Amino acid sequence: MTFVETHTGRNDLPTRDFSWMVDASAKRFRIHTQAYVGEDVYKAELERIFERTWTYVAHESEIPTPNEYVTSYIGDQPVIAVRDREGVVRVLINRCVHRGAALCREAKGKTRAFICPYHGWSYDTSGKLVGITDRNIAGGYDEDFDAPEGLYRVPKVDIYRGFIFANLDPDAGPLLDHLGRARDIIDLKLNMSPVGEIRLVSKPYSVRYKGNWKFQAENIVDQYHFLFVHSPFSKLQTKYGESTGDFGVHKAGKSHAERRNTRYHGDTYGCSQGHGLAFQPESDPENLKQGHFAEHFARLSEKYDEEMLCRIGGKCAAAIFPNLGMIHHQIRTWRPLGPDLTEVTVYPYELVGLDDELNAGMLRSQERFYGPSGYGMPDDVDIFSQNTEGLRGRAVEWLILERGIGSDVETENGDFRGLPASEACQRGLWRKWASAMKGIEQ
Amino acid sequence: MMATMSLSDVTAAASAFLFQEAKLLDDARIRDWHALYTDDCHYWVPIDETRPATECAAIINDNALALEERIYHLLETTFAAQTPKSRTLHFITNVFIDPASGDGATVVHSNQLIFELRTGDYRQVGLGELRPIPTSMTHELVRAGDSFKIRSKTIRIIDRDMPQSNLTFLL
Repeated sequence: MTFVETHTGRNDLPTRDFSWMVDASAKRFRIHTQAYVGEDVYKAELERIFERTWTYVAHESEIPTPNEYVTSYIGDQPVIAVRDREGVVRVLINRCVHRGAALCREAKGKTRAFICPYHGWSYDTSGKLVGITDRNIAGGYDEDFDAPEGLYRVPKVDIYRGFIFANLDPDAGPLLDHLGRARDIIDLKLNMSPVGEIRLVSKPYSVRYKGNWKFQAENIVDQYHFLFVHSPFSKLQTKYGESTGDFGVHKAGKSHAERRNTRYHGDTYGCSQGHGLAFQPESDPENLKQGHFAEHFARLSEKYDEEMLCRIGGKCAAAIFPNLGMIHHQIRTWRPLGPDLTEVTVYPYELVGLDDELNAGMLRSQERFYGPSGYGMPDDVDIFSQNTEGLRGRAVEWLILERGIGSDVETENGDFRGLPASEACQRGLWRKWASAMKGIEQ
Repeated sequence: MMATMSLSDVTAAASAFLFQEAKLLDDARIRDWHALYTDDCHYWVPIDETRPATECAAIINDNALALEERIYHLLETTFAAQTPKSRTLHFITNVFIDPASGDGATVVHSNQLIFELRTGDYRQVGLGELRPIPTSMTHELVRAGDSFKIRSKTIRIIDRDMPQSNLTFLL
């Protein structure tokens, strides 16, 4: 069903084993510098991780009606995520199967057919080849021309609550198995909506940084850095509170100790699938009865018990392996462009059914922290460049990810639960990375 | 007073004011720059200026209080993205008074090319890059004595809907 049937496997790289770059034992968890900077590592990651894992490609709300599409990537391969004429979501390689030109040049649109600008071959929105220009003229194609059926369909596509995932590996297991415990974060985030849905409406923020993609994957669930990198933001919180549009999303505290108590509660998980998850449920249900969202939580309390309400109304964040982040009211993706160049895109979403005023307030909150002129994310990105600079110091071979390792507890499904101040999330990423990067020595 | 001035006089006065604003930024006289703004100002750097703020995030969307916070952030805190700090040169051209300007405010369109640089140890990754940032601008100016104050400023970066790098200095 992939339309283009030949797959020789000759794209594949030699199968070197890189798993030694994660040095893990009961009390030891160290990452070799090369895992962040190596060109050969990066190429192997594209093949062994991005092309063999469910990756997030788009959200259904971006293509609500038939024949709408967005362009996206799986690793570095360009794809089109499209809802075909019948309403089925397809993920197609954005490449004319004739001579290779990219078909879609717009980031999103609506069309009845993809027409190649090079020689005019046309495809319907399911990817089926429907026309070859001047097919039968003299010097055209013979009657028995072995025409391809259409565009390359990414063999595995599945959707979880509007999140469209695709996998280039035809033998991949089910998406739900890959998501595992990360579903809890998606559920908690979406259940903030009275109808359990989100909608991508705003234009996204996008930034490129000079550093490895795993810096972002590690950082989005790193509670530890917040108290240092973002202490200037906490100072703004102390002085301006919510008056400049934060809606209480980023809680501060007046002292380092107070801020530490805010950040360091709840659980973190390093999942067997490579996800890092941080759960910070609201510790006092009374807090949900005050503030901008009080009425909203009162309505949600008809649907959920108090414990669940505190989980929904608290905070949580996820780095869903390999390329999807969930934090605040945003979907975040990261796309590797090389071992030392990464593009991050932040899609603020609306909660369907929430008051317009609250959705607009969340946008202001995101502007304040995450935009390129915000008081948070630009600092993270600058640190990522600093990491790249520091890692030039190859004389030091290993990075240390042992924080809280002694308090990690392995759960029945193979995830590790850690304390909130620990680096359990990051260890989850690297355990999966090591197993994916093992390769088969020939 | 504006009514008595010729269009070329208004253009000259507005241009001189924009150049003065740019000089304050380039000289890092941030408090003096802030003093050019009215108490009800709006400072806006959109990603998509055709869409309302209720449905689209902006790069910056500051009311007067938020702009005050931005100044405080720049002057009273130390943060990674401005360590070391940016150096800028602002070049402003194509100054044009909007014919629809009413008596209350003068609407001025212009183009601006900002060059930005963070030096420090310029050999390090992420530093030492001279970055050109082309923008168009619209100022809404109100008379204040024999000069102007800025009631609103909109900055449209040419690649505003594409990846941006560090924009934590004043544009």
